[in-house]
Amino acid sequence: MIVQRHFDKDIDELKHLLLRMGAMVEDAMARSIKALLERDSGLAEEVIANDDEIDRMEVLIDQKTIELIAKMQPAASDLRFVATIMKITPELERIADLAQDVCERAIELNREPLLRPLVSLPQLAYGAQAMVRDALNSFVRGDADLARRVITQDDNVDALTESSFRSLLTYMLEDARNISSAIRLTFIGKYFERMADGATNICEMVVYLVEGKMIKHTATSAAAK
Amino acid sequence: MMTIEMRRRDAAEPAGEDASVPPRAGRASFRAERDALPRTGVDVPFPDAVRRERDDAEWNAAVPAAGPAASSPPQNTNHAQLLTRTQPSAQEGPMSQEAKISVSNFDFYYGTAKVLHGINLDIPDRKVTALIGPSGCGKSTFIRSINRMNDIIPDARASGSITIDGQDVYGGDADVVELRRRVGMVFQKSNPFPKSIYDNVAYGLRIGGMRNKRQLDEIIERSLTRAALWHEVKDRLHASALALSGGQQQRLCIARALAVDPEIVLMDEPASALDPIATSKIEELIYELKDNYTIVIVTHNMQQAARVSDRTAFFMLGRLIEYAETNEIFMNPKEKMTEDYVTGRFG
Repeated sequence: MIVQRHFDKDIDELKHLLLRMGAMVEDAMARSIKALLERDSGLAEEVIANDDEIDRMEVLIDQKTIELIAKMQPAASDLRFVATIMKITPELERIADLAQDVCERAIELNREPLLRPLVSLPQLAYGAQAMVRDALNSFVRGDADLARRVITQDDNVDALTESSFRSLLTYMLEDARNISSAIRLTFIGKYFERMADGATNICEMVVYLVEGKMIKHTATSAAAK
Repeated sequence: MMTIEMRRRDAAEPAGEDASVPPRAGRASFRAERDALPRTGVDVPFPDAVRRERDDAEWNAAVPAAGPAASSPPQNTNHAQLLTRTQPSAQEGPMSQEAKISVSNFDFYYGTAKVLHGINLDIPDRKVTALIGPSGCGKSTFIRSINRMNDIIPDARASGSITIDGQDVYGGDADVVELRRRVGMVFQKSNPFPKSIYDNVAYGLRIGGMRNKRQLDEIIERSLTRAALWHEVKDRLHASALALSGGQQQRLCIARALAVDPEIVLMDEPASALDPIATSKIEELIYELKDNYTIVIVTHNMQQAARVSDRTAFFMLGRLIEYAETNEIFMNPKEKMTEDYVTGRFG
């Protein structure tokens, strides 16, 4: 006979919390991009202010996960689920921190004349955003194929980061007055690149969740790329 | 259920779906929620179908001639239906290692009732093999078949073979007394004889004809030490065994089994009647004994199986469903039934 498990309720609750945190992180990311591209310092301030809530969410999820391990001793897919949650949560929190960093740099940029065009930077930002969104989708659906596809996109984001850096370097060489803004924009490019790395890490855990295979730092992971 | 405002833009729709999902449907409700999400990528059902496809591919690669196993896998949790699948073979990859006990096509009947169906597995030397499964799944019958403890049950009958070091346990020339010396057994309820501690351990040796006092003393000390009991009883070896605590009595029974120098020790739920402290002592003991003995343990406590064993065999309804490294069984079992059992969804 199939047993109705109290445990399922705890797992559902954890999953809801993680989804909620994911939504908050995606929101922070989207607004940081908007604040950057539209030079909206007010919006940037909001994102920075909201980061505390995401941090609290991380602590809450950690607490619930540890409680679950202590009380239920999860096994098999339950165990992989709990391990995945514990690895995904800090990645999400870090992505939110990076969004906050983007906003801080955006506010600084707004005090300086506009450097145009931003060339590949918006493309890079949207690429990273898509990766984070798809990473969360792959988790929600337990879709290892989607997770693998997201991992392969990391190279595109890396290429865009490099291309953005080269353009900014050209601006700096052209006119020394551009240097301050260009350096801040270089930082921002790196922040988005790191967010994409976070999405990759999430996807590696999704493959583990679904298939029980650790593809981190392995040939499989390289092959997926 | 927690109500949470779904802030993800593309996940906003399912929030209203909660009403249509039966309350507390556990995972099913999540499946429904997930399925309701708009999909950007390729649809891949989660996760059973993915796993099944992969398993069948691996299975076909490992056992090319396994026709029935590759037949279309069931998608639901109908366990009776799943049972019709051909059982997985014991040897695959790192699992293959020289077998101490080798079981092939082993069936067992009580009268006309068939309680074990075509069991195939190889139990490795000097490792701990755990047998798990719901009550009545045949694991005790199976473990008792290894040293022919079922022989005393009227109408009980076995077919197929169990070999130890290549010798058939059920062969015509098999010496049952010698078999039971080589294969010791410890039961769920400790069963010391109403004799002194010393005489309990000496019992098997004396039956075997040993009379030399010094030799007896030596073996008794060694057996009690191996059973982690020596220091607790060395000053009262001639006190009644029945005065010992439950945990001590169980360790005494283990010492009694070890005294006749067996190669294999069978344990049928050795700790299920003990408190947690005594249980952990038995578990420590099992861990130490595996350096010298091949141990097969039946346990209802899955965490115990996870803690003490190297390999785990999962039985259900008289069939061996899955046999693999213990880590595999508890982290990434291949069979849906095993998954359901170790996660407590079933049983």
